[in-house]
Amino acid sequence: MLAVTLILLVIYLGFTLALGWWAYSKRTGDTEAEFFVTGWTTGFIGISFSIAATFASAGYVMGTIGVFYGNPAALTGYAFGTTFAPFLLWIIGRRLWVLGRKYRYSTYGDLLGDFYQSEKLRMTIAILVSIFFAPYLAVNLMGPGILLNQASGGSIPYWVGAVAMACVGTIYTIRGGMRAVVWTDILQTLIMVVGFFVLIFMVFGAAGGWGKVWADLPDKIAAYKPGGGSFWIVLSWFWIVAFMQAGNPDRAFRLLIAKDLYSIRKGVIASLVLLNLWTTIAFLMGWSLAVGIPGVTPTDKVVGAAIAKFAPFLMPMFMIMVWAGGMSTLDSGMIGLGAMLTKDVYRRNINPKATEKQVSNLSRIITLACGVFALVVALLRPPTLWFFIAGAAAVAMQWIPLMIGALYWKRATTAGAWAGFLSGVAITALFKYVVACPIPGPGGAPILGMVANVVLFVVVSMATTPMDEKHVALYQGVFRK
Amino acid sequence: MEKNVYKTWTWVLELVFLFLAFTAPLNPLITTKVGVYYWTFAMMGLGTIAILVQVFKGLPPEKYSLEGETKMGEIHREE
Repeated sequence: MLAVTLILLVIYLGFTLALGWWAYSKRTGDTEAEFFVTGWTTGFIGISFSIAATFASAGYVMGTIGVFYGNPAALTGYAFGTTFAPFLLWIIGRRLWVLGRKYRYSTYGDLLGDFYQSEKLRMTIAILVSIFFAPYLAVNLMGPGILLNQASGGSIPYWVGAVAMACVGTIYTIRGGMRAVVWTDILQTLIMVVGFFVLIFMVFGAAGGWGKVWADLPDKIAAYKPGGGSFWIVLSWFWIVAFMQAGNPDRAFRLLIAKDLYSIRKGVIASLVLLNLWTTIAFLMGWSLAVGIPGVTPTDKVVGAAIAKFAPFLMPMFMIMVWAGGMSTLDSGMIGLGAMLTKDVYRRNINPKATEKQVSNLSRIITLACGVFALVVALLRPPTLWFFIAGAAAVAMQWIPLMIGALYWKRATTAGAWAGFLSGVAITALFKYVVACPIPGPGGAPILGMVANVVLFVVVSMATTPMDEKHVALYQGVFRK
Repeated sequence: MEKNVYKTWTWVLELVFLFLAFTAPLNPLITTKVGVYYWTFAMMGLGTIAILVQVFKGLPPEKYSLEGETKMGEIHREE
């Protein structure tokens, strides 16, 4: 079985690398726009599959399914979040794409720096989001490394899987940029959808079929706690999932790569379908696993345990699914952070006269640095997987109010943006890393951070001098009533 | 300018969706696992309808002008 797994892994890695390489051959030129936003040539399939693949990380395939297994009622908030997320994607995307095309943007920071007329704000946001987001890259190397180590009975060291994945992901991302990321994300989504389709049938069959699963599904995990005890945890899951899609730089920048505005619209609808598909898959897997193989701890091992018990011949397929989940989120994270550090920090604040060639080359170096950083962190193996995932999204979502302000609100001011963003990040980090958050779950800290963010953003904006009308018109006046 | 009633409907639908979704754990009628998941999938349906109304009717793509396009990396402000 191990030999089959290894052969399939080698084929998978080789094919992914070849696809990324092929994507490079389809480039529109060796330009910065090509590297970061595919030269504005991506259709709705690329946008939606890429968002879906990035969302379905290695953490989803292992950890999230495990959480659904442990307490599916709490995860109804997750379902509400995936349904709401496309609403935010369209609110931002319908204007951001136009401004991005007009002013050649490839990051949120491009718009924030320009609209709020502050390079310091732009750089601060880029650095803070990068610091909190970077560890998330490593998580996607850890899952596949651990799984390969376990599947081999310990004969293949953990680092082998992590290194192999980091090398392949980094090489094709450096080579093909966003175009390679999008094409490989389409592949990863297809792998995961087909894989889960097979797994759901397997697990339901092992658990005795739909009727038995539904009858035996324990009420204590599948129904809300009496007296409203589930309210905050449902809200918490909603918050993190809903805002993650429009906030995380690994997927939110897909709103800038479309070939036209109608591709964004179709991409948002297709994202809605795919995100709800991930939710439905997670529910079906969670329910059937809770009946078929109860009591597995930690819960992120439950899918592997079920396969080992009921259908060990599917282990190679599961391995590929975890690797696909990890690879799709790793490459997206590298290109997102690479764009922010290259454009928001270097181009605007260190070398404003950099040529397109210099920026293009540096972006590849920074992407490589992101890959190396992720690998180093993965090899150090921080003890808690979810700690980093939740922290990344919790902080990254704090730029959403500023984005909506820049796109729609004439009274938004630079001082308001500073106050909102810094307070949002500070409160989120405080309750995420320093003191216990009164709201449970992964979205607790960012809920408090977002409230502080929005309140201060609005109050300080209203209390300070409005921005010049002509300047605001350069952004919000582009759209004809 | 003509008022777009679908814009209002978009926000109404979205607020109804959020209210019904968030209050599900407080809803005295949802006490069984059957109730929880029927309600959840009904909310996913309602949320989907809200987004379709949003993207096609309430907040469709706006007309825009690309006049004054600039080069990548150009700074659009004075500091």
